[in-house]
Order: sequence, then structure tokens, then C-alpha cells
Amino acid sequence: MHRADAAELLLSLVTSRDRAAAIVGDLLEGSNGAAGFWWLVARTAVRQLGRDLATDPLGAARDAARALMVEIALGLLMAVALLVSLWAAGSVALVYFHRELPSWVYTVSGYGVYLLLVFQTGRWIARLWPRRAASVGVSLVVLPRIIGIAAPLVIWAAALAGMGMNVAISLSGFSLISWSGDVPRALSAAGWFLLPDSLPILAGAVFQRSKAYPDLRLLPRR
Amino acid sequence: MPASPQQSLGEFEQVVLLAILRLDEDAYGVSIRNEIRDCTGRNAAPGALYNTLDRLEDKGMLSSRMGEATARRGGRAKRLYAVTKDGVAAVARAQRAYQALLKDLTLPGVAHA
Repeated sequence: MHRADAAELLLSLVTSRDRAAAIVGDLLEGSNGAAGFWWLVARTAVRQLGRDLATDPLGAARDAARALMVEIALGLLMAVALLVSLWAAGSVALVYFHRELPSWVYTVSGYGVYLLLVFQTGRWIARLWPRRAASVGVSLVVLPRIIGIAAPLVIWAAALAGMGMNVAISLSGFSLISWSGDVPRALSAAGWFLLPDSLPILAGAVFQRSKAYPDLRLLPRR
Repeated sequence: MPASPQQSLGEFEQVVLLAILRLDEDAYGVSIRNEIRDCTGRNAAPGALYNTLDRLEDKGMLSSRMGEATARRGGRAKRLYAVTKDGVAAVARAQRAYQALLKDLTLPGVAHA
């Protein structure tokens, strides 16, 4: 894929297709070399993203909340499908091979389904909000972390005022939410999965937007 | 969105509108940046320029149309900008306000304001 096509695809996550094309044309005309070109593309994309977030932060948060609901619903469906598949595979392994599935199968399939879930959410975002896919995606990554830090802060403040409490929600023994007043742990948890959360969203959004460019190939032909 | 009569302009918005007025028919991203650099010595960041152009278009002070594509631009068309009547009125109003503020004012270290 030519660098200009890749840049146009990237910029189409923060603006309309025709504007992205015109901007890339300008940057090609005004830049010296590949490094200078990509530097300008990155700065322009970040500026456009910042504008989207600054002009309508509540709109971005609202759309991210919608995306989060879809992600949770899709995640539950995929979790059920995974559990059924693992149960079936485990039964086959036990009946025909007289052995249990190795533990890495559970780990790998769990992470695989998680990455697929986030990727699909990125695609859904780009389909629904093509010009603002990046700002909604960033908000989707940030929003649960804000909640995940704010809730322990509230619990910590409540504990100071003599109202000790913990919040724990679990499903069939699987912990969905577990908030205590442990703020350092909440901060550390917010940092975890930052890349595994954001990169598949970006990849899904780019994949979805690439469909609008029939001449563009994400992978080189053999 | 049409410009409201009292819509104010930021300093960079005025610079961009004036550059586009100077360029007349050939105002697009690169030429606007070059005109700003040549006239003011300011090297405008592309991202800041495109944000300002979008904002001015949203305010109804600019209109845009697609121009011709060239090989140098990787076959991509230019987006050509023109200042609307509302834009001209807004920039004239802003300049009158500057002139009124400067009238009878002696800036320290400057021979003539």
C-alpha cells in the first residue's frame, strides 16, 4: 500500500474522505521525504482528533457509552459461544482421546476472543461514526478507565468519612466489577490493557474504513 | 451554518481569511500556508490550519469546492476555499475594531502605529 493511501485511510478516521484526500494531497505537495510526510500526517491527525474531542466532549462520551454497551452485549454473546465451544471441545477430547484440554487452549482462546471483541467494536464504531471513529474510539478506551478510577476514589473518600463499602458484581463466580477504596490498584489497573484495548479498536476502525477504498489493499498481494 | 452578525473572529482566523482573500481563486491548503508564511513570517501547523478552515466553513465564513488533481499531489484534488460575504463582513468588522483601538495610540518603541 502506498504511503499516501495509508495516510488517507488514517486521516479518514478523523475527517471525511474527500477532506482526507485533499489534506494528503497538500501534505504530499508540501513535505520533503517520507519522514517529513508522516510527521505532518501524525500532527494533523492528532490536531483533528483534539478538535473533535474539544468541540463536543459530551457527544464523544455519549457515543462511547453507546459503544461500551454494544461491546458488553457482544462480549456476553461471544463469552457464551466460547464457553459452549470449549465445553464441546473438552468433551470430545475427554471421550475420544481420554485427556483434558491443555490449559493454554483456554488462555489463548480467551485472549483471542477478547481481541476479536475489541476489533469488532472498532469496526462498529467506524461504521456508525466514520468521520469521528478516532475520537469515539479514544473515548471508549478512556471512559471505562475514568469510571474505574473515580469509583475507588469515591469509595476511598467515603471510607474517610466513616462509610466503609465495597462494590462487587459477579456472574457465576466470574467477577465483573470489583471496586474497593484501593486507588493505587485502580490506577495500575487503568494502565493495564491500554494497548490491547486501543490497538484492536484502531485496527477494526481502519479495517472498516478501508472498505470505502476499493483500490486500497491493506495487505500486499502475493 | 450562516454567520451571525456579531460572530467574532480569532486572530488566526483573521489571518487565514485575509490570506484567502489575497490568493483569490487559488486558495488551498499549501498556498494558504505559504501566503501566511510570506506575509507574516509565521509557519502555521497544517493541523491548526485545517481545523481553522473547517471552523470558518462551519461558521459560514468560507465556502469550498474541489479543484483539479495533479500528479505531484498523488492524483488528489485540491480543496479550494473562498471567503463568503459573511466572512468579508466579519474580517472588515474585526479590522475596523483594531483600527479604532490603534487610533491616536502611540506604541512604545514604534515610530508610527
